[in-house]
Amino acid sequence: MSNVNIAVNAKTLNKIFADLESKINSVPPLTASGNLGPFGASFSIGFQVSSAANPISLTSSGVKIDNLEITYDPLKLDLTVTIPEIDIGGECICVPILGCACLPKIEIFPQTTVTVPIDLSGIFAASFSGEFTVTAAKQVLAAKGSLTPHQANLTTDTSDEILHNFENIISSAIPLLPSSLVKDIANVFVPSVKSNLADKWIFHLKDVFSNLQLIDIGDTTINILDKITDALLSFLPSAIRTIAKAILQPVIDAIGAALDIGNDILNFLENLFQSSLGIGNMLETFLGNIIFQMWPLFLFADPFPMIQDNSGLIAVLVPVENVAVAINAPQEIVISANIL
Amino acid sequence: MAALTQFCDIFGAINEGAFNNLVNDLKNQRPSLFNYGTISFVKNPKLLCNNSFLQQLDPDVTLFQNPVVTQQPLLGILGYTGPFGFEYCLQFTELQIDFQPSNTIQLPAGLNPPLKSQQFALHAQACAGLDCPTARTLSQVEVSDPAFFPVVNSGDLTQVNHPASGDTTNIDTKGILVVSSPTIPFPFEPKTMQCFCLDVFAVLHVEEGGPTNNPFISLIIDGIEIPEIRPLGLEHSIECYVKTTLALGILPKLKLALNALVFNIANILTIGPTAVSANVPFNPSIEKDQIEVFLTLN
Repeated sequence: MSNVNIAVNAKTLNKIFADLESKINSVPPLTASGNLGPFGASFSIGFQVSSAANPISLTSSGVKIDNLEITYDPLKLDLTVTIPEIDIGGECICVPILGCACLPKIEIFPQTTVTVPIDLSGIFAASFSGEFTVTAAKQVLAAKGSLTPHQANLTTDTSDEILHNFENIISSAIPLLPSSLVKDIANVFVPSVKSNLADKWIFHLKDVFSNLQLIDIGDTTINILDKITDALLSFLPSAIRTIAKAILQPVIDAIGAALDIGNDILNFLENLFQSSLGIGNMLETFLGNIIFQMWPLFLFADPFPMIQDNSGLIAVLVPVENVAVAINAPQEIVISANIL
Repeated sequence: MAALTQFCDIFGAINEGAFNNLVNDLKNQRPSLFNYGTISFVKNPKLLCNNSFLQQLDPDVTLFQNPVVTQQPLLGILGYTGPFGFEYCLQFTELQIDFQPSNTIQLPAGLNPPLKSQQFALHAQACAGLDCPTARTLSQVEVSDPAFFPVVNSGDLTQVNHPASGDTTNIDTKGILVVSSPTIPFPFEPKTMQCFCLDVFAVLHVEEGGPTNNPFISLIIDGIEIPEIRPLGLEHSIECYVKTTLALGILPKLKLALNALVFNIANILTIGPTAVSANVPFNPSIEKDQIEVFLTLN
């Protein structure tokens, strides 16, 4: 039987989840480029998450995340074509004995690269929902070596162990990503876990079910209307523009909701994102699986420093074992444990 | 199941079993909080009256060169102005906690059992020992200091030893006491170490205090009892000494951060204690054999 119980309500979970949103939003965009003869293309795609108020709720089966809106931002495509140099003249007529006579070569068009930038940032939106269980596992770093609990508690983790673990999680789930981007993504989440070398109980969300609507037509329409509104109101001073937008926002939202129906163009784009670019699977894997393996819902050290001291005495560390998680839906998550 | 967070955002409960384990961890990792003695005990804690705790001592105490015994000055000898003084030790051992309702510690009648609402009981043994100099030692200690005119600052308890010749700046002519701090212990004789242990019972409650951004729990003594000492004046004197030692010396060092009681699990958020109300009449609260804390997001 546990001798410690800690309960955290859904409101607190939503506050904690806001930390994850900020981390997702700082994940660097994926950029790539390629050339085929004179044609080239490069793209940059990233995601910004903005959830409705309180996206997390608790059900008897676990933690539910509803309607997480993911805006593709940036979403930039640069198409390039390289037009080769065009010259006239330069031809030569050669007569035996007399030699060659050449026409002067005149460059009438230098080699030119034409780039057509297409910036769709902030227009297309996806939406994500899912159900998760909460798991608890103890993290023991190899870098701790033979350090005693107090030594580990006082020693900053300067190893790259967590970074490498995260890189493995990402690259094994999405092998296509370049290693530099894998490292950049991992680095966004490392600070959430990395501190000292003490063992830690880490609580993660583990997906049971997730659903990604690759192009959320309603949200995308709202984004388009939003940008049109911005353009139409651009002549106004910013303070007045903000007020005008606030007044118009319900109208924009209503139109967006009304248009949440099949749309040929957006369906086409969804197919393009999913089939041609493979973004759908990648994003779903990223949101439903990868980030929740790296981002801790909670964590605490084991043994836990229950009483600190600032006079040079060691902290009082209490071992924490038999950690378990239960959900008391719809109000709270209950963590139980034993202090030994 | 009723929600534990019905009236707060984060709730923590630690039952008395866990709290007793915490006290045990505290005793093993911060022994200097419970063991006091003069120089010989500091150098060799095995000389303490009760040294059984040394077997459970956390190895990190030695590794980090933390003291096992908090050093105390030698005990002076009344009327003697020489350098020698007694060695002694005082320990609190066998600590045990019982949260309300009373069910593990049998409180003495003097503490009006059973525990009242929001109280908890503490049982400990206070062990003290005095190293008594042998007759041979006493005969070898020559009383060579001549008597001198008494000098003391009567107002602020500042000790003044032998005044330098001709120095009258610290002389209070109204003083009537000679205060001389011993500097040399009698040669330690383990065989003449006189030890005794007394059962100490106390009733306490908890209060929330500290800054709003880092609130902590303080332990406050409501009453203390050391039974079976006679005459009554001696009992009360010893109780007074133990109570004052606990109140001023030990308990202030046992501040438990409220956030620590919920393992700092929401440390990325700003949280504070839930305001006391009809729904949360006590915070922290002691009931049902556990201590409960209620925290609210700011």
